[in-house]
Amino acid sequence: MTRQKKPLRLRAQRFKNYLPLYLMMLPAFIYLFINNYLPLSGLVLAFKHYTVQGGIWGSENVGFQNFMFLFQNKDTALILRNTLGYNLLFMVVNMVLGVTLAILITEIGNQRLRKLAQSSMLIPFVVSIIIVSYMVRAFLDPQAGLLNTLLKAMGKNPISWYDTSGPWPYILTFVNAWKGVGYGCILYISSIMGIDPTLYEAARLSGASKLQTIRYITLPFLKPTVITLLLLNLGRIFNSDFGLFFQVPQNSGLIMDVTQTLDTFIYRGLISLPNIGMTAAASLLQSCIGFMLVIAFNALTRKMSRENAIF
Amino acid sequence: MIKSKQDKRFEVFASVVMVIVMFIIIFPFVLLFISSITEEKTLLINGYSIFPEKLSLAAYEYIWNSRDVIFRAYATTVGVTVIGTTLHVLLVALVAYPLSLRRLPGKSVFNFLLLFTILFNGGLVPTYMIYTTVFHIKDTYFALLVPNLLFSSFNAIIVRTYLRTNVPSELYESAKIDGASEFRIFREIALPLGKPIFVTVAVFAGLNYWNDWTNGLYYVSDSAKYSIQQMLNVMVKNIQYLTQFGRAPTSGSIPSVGLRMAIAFVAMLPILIIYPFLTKYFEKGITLGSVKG
Amino acid sequence: MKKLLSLLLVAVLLLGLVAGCSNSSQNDTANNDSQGTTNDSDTQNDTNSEEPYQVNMVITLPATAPDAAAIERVTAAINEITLPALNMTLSLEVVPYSMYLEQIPLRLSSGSDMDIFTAFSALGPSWINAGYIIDMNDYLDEYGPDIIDTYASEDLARVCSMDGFLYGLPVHKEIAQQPTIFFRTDILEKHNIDVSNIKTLADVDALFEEVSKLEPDMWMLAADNTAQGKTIVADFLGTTTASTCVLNPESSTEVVNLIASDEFYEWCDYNHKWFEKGWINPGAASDTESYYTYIASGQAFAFFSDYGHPLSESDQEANCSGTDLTMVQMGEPYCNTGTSAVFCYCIGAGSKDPAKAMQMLNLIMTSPEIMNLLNWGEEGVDYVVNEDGLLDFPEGVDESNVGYHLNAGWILPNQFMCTPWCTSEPDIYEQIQAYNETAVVSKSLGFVFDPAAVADEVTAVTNVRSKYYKALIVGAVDPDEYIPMYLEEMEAAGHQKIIDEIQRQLDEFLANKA
Repeated sequence: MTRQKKPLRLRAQRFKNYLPLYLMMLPAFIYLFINNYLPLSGLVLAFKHYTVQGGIWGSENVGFQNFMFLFQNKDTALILRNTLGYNLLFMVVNMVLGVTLAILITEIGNQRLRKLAQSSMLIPFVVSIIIVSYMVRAFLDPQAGLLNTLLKAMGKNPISWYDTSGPWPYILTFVNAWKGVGYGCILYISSIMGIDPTLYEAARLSGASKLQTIRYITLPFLKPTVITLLLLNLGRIFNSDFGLFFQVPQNSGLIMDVTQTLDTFIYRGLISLPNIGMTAAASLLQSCIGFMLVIAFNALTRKMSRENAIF
Repeated sequence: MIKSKQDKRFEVFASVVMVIVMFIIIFPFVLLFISSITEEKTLLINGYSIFPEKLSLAAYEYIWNSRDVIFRAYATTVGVTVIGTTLHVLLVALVAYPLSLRRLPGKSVFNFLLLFTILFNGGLVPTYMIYTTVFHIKDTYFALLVPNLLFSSFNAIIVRTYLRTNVPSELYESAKIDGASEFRIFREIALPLGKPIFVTVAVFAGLNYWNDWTNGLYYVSDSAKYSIQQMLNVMVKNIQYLTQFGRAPTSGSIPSVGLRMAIAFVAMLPILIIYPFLTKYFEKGITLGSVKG
Repeated sequence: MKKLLSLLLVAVLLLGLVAGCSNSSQNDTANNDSQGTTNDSDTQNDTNSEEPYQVNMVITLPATAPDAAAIERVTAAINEITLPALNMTLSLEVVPYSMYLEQIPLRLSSGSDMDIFTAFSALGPSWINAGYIIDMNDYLDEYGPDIIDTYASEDLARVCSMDGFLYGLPVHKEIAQQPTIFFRTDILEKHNIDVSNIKTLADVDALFEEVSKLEPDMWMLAADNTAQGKTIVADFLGTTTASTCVLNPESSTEVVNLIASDEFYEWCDYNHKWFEKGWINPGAASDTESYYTYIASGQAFAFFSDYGHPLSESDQEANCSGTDLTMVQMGEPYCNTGTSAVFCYCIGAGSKDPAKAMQMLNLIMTSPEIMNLLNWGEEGVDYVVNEDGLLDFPEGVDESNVGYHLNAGWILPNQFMCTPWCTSEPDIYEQIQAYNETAVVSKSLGFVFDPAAVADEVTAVTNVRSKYYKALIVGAVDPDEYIPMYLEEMEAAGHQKIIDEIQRQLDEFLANKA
């Protein structure tokens, strides 16, 4: 910083004033540099045939060959469909459920019940995905699972859940909602609490029904929050929760056409054939697309309502 | 406020729906717990059930008998969580306070540098190389601690936003006029006034440390340094390999279904116990996380 | 703004370098610097007379490792042998199975200085292509002359070779697999059933028919979804697709598609029949539960295995929590590259001195003292020698409180050097060696397929496999419907190209051998 060529006295003085502030930020940025920025050099591996002897920089350049592999693979379309499809589905489902539950919770008259409902929304959020996969197994186990016990009790044939792809889009959406809906819900609740009560009062006096007040007051007020949440999720639209798509379906083969996402594909590729170049290529693509999406949507949001943009 | 009949009906409807939703949320936890106290044979033959034919505390007895190992894993998890959370909050506070000041030159560059790390990462292999060949954290407690120190730069953005909106800039200005140094302003104004958000961030960081199992998976093979989540993971995966290669070095090394459920339950118990005390901080964190920046 | 950004980057970069430097200089003193250049290692060689070389050894186990203190105690005892003999020390690390696939490839890919480590032999070929491991041929003859003598034949010693690249030395254990079935002895005795004549799947079917009537609530078979059909005798030629193999490998060298074979169909067909009748655990296709659990809990009656060697019955009984089992061998033991080297010991590409690593391996594989230490720990602390000359726990010590007791000779370099534990027969290792000699040897022994030329096809076929394979071999789906689907998708994924490539390499290998 001292190498700045034309240090106006004023500027130098100003800098000196701010020096303590920069120093405060230093530890975090040193850490980010080591933990996040230095490994970025690994992204060049996307264009290399990596060998241990060559290391990151010395390995042979292969241009876009690693990307070619990704695009030539005939499963790519399927994987992209799953990755994007599930993310969009999860966004919509969690949003609709979150908003609905938030409205319902705020409408509960009994204070204790309301408190209880509100705080139980987040319990699944604090549990690790491994434990969640244990719980799912307890329901879906083909032999001992609760669902098959129920089916048998109703005189129906048990279903081999982990081999039947049909129900899995629903199962995954349900598990994801079970674990994640509380997060958005809490957010919507606080937005609803922030709405000026006199608005409702006025609406009531002019004879609006409950549904009408929700439609014309609550929902419009929730819009900014919804946009922000969507924005946050859009950046990760090419990423998927590895635990959800790998641990929860227990890596079962027959349902892979509905559970395979970009992340599980990379992991499986890495385990069966160590191909570090290909992994780097896939994660570079993931990052780039996510990055561009966030920038684009942030710009869009900025245009529509400045205060909702993230940066 | 007088409630109309229609409102009342809606309230009842809301209450009923929420009771059902709460049941859906809680039920899997109950099932997990019951299966951990179900007798093994009953579990395998009759299946998972809320009302099992035969109960057994064998799994918990086993845990109690191997308490050395399990408590050590507990201690590791607790230690790492406490230290990691403290350091995380400290780092976040130190970077968020300057960024919350509108007057700081180059603010947007730093903001960008923070946000960039959320979206881009170099992948596992380069990260691993740096940590093992430069910093040698393999098989040390640092391996459980360091990679997550700033697990989410997003927390810094949350704190920054909170400080900007909740600490009136006049406070800073008058302190400046009184000749207080930046560090003093940070310590005596920003820290105390930002306390709610720091607690919130701490809660999230603590949760993250408590539930983390991936760092152990990549960096730790010394069983003395297992965290409780890693132990859970190791047990289950050992069974899969065992069936594949058909040999067990010592008999009885296959944990039963009930035992696995019991350890899972023990692993999340502390969180469930302190959960009621933490709810409001979670809620606050989530709320603050998404307000405009 | 731009200027500020670049300045910042420079500043941060400098700081980062400083941090990096201070750290690596710290570690120089710890003799741990992995960035040693050729010059460095030369100077190290010069100072060798004073400074002993530390060999980093990693072994893997299907159980949690002993704690660090116990490992340190044992390695200290080992070093008392290795220091005078080689002027080297051993640093031992135990990685559990469960983390093997995450940790070991990561370490290898980052060039970490693992000298000797346990490898799943099947992973070797892809590791060669990634440059993870070194060719041991360069060192074996000069630095490991005694190693070759520990194997029954030179072929067996060099079985982990791909295209002349020797990537590992196989662990000493049984070299053959054998179609085998295990039954719960209590059920056999209860109904007075004789199983000694069970030889084919049809025999098994008839038996299940009989027993299922006597024990209607029991599953006849606890199925294993991780392996191939256990009665199929095939040489998989070091491939991982589970579909390319040579059938009747003692006489044939023709590479075929296993999935299209009668043998595979027969296996799937019988299993499907059993599955439909409810004789197989219904969750088998996706079960992550060990099938031993069902035997141990009394829920299932039998399971297939490919281990028919002398130790197998007691091994499996231990796996089933001590359930009394009856083993029936359904075929001859067969030996090929895969069966003779399930595990091997490799030298990592990051090893600073592969010659020294080889010398250490040479010493370990030929030293009863070191092997006993590795497997059983320290005499007097972890074990004592009883009056029969076998090993037992000392007074007051048992399995639950012993400090170091791997009891995993089958994954250590050379268990035949060890003294047997008191619970096994005194001549158990001789028995295994005798068993090895009875094995029918595959004509392709020593051949390992190099998948590099068809890597994309292998990945694609592996993906297809994970879709169908498990469900087929446990009988969860109808083979008449699913095998054609599987075959069609395999074909689309380029399976024929893989077969052609394997055949080409195999023919070349056989021509060179002749």
